[in-house]
Amino acid sequence: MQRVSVIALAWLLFPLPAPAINFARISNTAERCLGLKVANPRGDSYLISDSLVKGLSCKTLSNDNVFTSLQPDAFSVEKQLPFPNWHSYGIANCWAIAGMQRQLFYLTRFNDTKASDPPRKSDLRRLLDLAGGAAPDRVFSVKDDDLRKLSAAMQGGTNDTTLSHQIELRQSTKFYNLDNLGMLFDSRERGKTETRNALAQIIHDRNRGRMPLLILRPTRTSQHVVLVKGMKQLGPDHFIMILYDSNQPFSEPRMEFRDGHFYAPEVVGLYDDDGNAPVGVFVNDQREMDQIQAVAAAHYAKTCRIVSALEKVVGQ
Amino acid sequence: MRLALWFSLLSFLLSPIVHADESAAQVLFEAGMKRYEEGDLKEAQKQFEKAIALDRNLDKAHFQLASVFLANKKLDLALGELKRIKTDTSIKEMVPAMEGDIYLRKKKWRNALVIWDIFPDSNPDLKALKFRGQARAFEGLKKHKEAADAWTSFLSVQNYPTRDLFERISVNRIGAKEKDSALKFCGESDLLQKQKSFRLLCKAHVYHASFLKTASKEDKKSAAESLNEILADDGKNPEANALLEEWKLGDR
Repeated sequence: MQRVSVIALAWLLFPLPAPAINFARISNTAERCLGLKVANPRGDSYLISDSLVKGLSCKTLSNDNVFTSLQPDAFSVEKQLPFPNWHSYGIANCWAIAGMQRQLFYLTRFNDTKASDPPRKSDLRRLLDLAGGAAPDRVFSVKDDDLRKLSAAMQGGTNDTTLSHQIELRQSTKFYNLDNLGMLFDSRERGKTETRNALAQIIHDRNRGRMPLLILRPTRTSQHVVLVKGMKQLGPDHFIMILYDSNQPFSEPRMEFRDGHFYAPEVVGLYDDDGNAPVGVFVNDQREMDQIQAVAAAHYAKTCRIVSALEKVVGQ
Repeated sequence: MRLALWFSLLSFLLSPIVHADESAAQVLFEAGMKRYEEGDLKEAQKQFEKAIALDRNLDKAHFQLASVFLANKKLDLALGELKRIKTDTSIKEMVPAMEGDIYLRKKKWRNALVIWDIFPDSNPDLKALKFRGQARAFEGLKKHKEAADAWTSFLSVQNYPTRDLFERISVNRIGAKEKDSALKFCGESDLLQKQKSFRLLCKAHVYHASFLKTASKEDKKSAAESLNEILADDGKNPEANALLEEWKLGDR
């Protein structure tokens, strides 16, 4: 009895060390099999990196912070659809193209050596559904570090449809959405408060890694849709925004906020007489961004579970 | 008198039920809109149908259901829904706009033209929709002169001339045997005075449309000359470069 007590006391005072976890093996396996970079610098949580996120912590991962640690080149020009906006019978497709581009920025994983090249038919079909406005449900992988091949495959289409047809369908769905009536028929004057609110929303979204879709209105009869890829504060009330503009697929035009107004001469100056005048800004399609965020959060949660499982299989 | 009293009493007793149905219909409509914006048209359709089952007079649910049918290429069902819309004035322009669009998609050019001819033109946005609808219907009817005129009107309410508009105007002017008039328009249109490249692009389209119709080598040469003149000023002009390649007009 006394002997047992001594052993119990010793066990309590000097617990056996936990078996050492071989993080190097986990990291190698994750990179080889999943195309992921996995780190564990402090030994308490895995940090995931791929072409979109950098050092995303599995421990604190949530829907709200999934995009707070993005790669610096996550939205680079190479990741933009390599074709310009087009007009079909007088109607442009910038709204639908910008929506599709935003989905591709967040849901495509680049440089994935395991990715099918050319894309699998099922993936192609799903991507064309997305282009037509369907809700995203997963991420896609490509071998390259740009969208050229994927875009060409989508433009080639399937037996049923093509990318241009799907984009025009999505544009039409936007047009016949009663919630967008204000975009079509109202005077759409933007007062001081609305402009401030739009800026506040853009800052709020960018701080969370979200990419606001903006409708720019230089005048009553013209509107154009762009995405805010990045933002810098230059002064107390002075911001520069880096944009995706489907009229300039190989560039990153800028928009400025100063003196209480938005200015986008690099965008609207291409087609409007007075490109230097202030533009009205509407933040739109926030639900589409919510969906993207939810899909990405679910993807990384699953990735974290797989990495934890690797710990049991190869890590000890 | 007694019957009227009974009717009033019945209405009074039933009114909470009617209002409850209306607000439940509104909730279903909003759920449908959420699905519609999320791209889940199948679920959106279900919600709109449920909303209509509770409140047949919910015009906006009929309209959004029509837009789901339109997206799914069920054009007759879409038309049927639009015809059920009775009173909601907030969507009064959208109903004929979609109806006119559906007839264009069905290639029912005369039906489309009837709608677009009486479509309101009280602001520039509505004007643009009207001219575009008329132009497409005239094209379908092969009334080239009228189509060219309507596309020209459409261009007049735009801020920026786009390539597709040059193409539509040129093809229809050539179809109407009005090549000289088309070239004159390229030189004189107010909108095209903004930039020399607009006028040259316009001319290139006219010559190219004429070349497609007559196979005249002179027209082909003139189209190439117009584009090369743009590139002499701005070698990177994307439209001119793209058209030279697309029309196979040779090196500049």
